[in-house]
Amino acid sequence: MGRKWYDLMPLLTSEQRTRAQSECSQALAKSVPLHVVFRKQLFSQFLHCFFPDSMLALQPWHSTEKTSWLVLIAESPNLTRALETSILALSAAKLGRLHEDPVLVKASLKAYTTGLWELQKALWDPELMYHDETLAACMALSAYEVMECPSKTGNGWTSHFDGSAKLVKLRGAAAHSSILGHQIFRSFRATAVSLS
Amino acid sequence: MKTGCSTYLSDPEWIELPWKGHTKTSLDQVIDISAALARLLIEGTEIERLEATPSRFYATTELVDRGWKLETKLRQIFKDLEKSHRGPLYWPEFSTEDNPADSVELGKVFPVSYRFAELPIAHTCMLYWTTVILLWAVMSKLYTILLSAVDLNQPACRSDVNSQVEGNGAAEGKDAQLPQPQFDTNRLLPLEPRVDVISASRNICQSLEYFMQDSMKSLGPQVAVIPLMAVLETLPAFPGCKRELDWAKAAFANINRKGMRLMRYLDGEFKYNGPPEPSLDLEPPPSDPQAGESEVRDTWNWSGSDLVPWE
Repeated sequence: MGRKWYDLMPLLTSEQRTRAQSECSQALAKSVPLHVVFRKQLFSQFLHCFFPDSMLALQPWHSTEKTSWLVLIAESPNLTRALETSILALSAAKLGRLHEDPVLVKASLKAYTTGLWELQKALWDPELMYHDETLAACMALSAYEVMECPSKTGNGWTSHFDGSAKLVKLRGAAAHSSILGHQIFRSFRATAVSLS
Repeated sequence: MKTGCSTYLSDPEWIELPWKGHTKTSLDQVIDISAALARLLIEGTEIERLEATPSRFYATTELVDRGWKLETKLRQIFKDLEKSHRGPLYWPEFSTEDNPADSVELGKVFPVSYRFAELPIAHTCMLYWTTVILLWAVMSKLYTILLSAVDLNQPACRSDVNSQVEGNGAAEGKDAQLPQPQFDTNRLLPLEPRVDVISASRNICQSLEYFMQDSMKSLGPQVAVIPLMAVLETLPAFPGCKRELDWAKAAFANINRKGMRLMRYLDGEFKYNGPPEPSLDLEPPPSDPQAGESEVRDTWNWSGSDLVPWE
């Protein structure tokens, strides 16, 4: 009574145990897309490279005052296409530079250009335009420009940041009281006020 | 890197509404002051374009008054932060990092660096000092505008008596109805040392070693870069701070090496002069139209008028 299936494991033969585990893994792979697993793993590594260990240790997921928007996104199971490719670009660039991996850095540039396309599509989609994740994608692409500056000028970053400022304004002040929206706004505002 | 397109952030609705259901931190409050100062500077610049009339004089005195009130609020925010925290917010330790501006004859430019209780406190302190620098810049500008409205050649404008500001002939319209302003330059609060911009700049420099530690990963340099840029913009106005300026320039080049490639390509005096980064032998991206970076940017259209709000 109340015994779980794995409690029966010691009663199975070695071959039966292996087969049970394999079938379980396949079921898991079907329910969790591979690209989500890959993105979460890469992004988790990025967070550990970006934030001091002391800050990550202090970030309870339920706290909003001190939780960075990047950490909040890490916990989301499904992201919009624009945000997914943008943070993939950011993560791949950071890890590629850290480990001097040209393949990863090149892949980050490809993800960045895909992220730009996806962001443009999101901005013309009435369902997505004012979504918090669309603004987050803008911020992630800005962060990529700071890190990589692929055009070797400040124009890319300026475009992203000016665009973010206009999008924030169009969304309206009240739109930035949601948990994710608020933290993105705080991060944006800290830079915007300093540079205005 | 000035963008100038975020001035709406100082509007009351943007100071209040995003915090519905949230608590403002000391950092948020300091940024509120920065936003208000940025607005003050814009208003001052607009007033400066007007003719030197009594209206302009009164408008400028009102801005100066608002500036000093913001200064009082800023000081109070920092005092409240100190009271709310058990122990010191930061403390001095001997500096361990070298800088090309140091010399054997004169010693280290900053022999002492600061350590902080935690990174969020360090961030708040840095932004506080940056806001002090901004306050100095704004009030300097407003004082210049104000004093330019005073005809100092008039005998009545001696500093030991109340003076009357002569109108410049625009004695028509509403200016004719305004009383001639009485102004004594001694009544202006001295900008320095009340707004100690040199100490604020030095505090930022002495905090850099904390932010540049390996344990601060990428976040440390990102937090430090804007305050350091404020120092680089301010210190040239003080010829006695040449060593500190050279130190700050070298520190800025060091930040470039911490994964912020954008800093290398900024125009002007912040330009990176350090050694080139080792090449990773990247192949050029494929000429796929969908992946072409410049082609995407050509279609990137951030003009606000093109973004039609959906109903």
